[in-house]
Amino acid sequence: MGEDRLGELLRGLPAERAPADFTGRVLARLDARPGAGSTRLRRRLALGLLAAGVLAAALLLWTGREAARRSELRAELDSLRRETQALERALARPRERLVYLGEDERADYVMDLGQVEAAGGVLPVPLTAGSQGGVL
Amino acid sequence: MDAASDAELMVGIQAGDRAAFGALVARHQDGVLTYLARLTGERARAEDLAQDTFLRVWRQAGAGYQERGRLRAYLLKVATRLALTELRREARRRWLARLWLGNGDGHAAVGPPEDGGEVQRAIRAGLQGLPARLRAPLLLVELEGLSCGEAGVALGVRVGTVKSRIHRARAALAQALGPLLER
Repeated sequence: MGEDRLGELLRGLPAERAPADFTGRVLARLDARPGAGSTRLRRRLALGLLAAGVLAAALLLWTGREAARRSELRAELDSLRRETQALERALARPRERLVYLGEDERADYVMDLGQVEAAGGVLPVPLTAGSQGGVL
Repeated sequence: MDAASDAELMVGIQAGDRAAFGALVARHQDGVLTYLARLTGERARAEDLAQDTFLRVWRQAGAGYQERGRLRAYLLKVATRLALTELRREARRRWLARLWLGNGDGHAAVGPPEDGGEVQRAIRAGLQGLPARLRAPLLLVELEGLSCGEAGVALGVRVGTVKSRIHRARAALAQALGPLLER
């Protein structure tokens, strides 16, 4: 019943009537077709250009951001390189050679063998099983 | 010319006869306009689309029209294709407006004509509440009297799809109209 009623209601919708000059307007557009066509073409061309512009702007923006990011990364790489070089230089330096001599209430006493050597002094010989110790 | 059959008018149009074209427009303008007004829900847009429909028939010189087929079905096919393209374009515009402007649908909604009684207004609103892909087959078959095969050709879908869409459209419309169907 609902189905029949629905069809009945749909068919009860009034029909539209075209305006009296409808046919005349269609025929007038028939004569104006080339102009209308070129208008549509121009509109499409403008839309195409707009889309191309938006794409170009997006590309420029992306390129700019990429360049900034690359420059940031390069700066970071340079900083890491500098740090590595500093560490390598530090590792290449001879280690300090200090001999602990003893202490009293005021301080610890050590002998810096590097300074002894630099001053042309004699260096102590390490005590081994075959030696009695001494200086060179 | 008024006494000529549709087939004779189409032969004249294919030969470039403007008088035949004028007679064809005059004969079918109300039917095409009525269908498009129900499909789009806007009288002004329906008029533009109806003009486009007839102009396309002239430009294509009836290409796609077969003498054994009904001219009305052919006209409704052209009208449907144009209207659905226009409605899709409109939906895209509204989507873009929402995306860029973030305000509602970016479109001054134009409802169906407000003449007629409460029942007609409710039916028009119910029809416009349906998606166009459901509304078109319902109108073509239920109101325009096309067969499901002809509606399938007009919509570019299979007969089974037409039937399924009509079924879904009727169910949705029945739900929307609710109490009106009980009166």
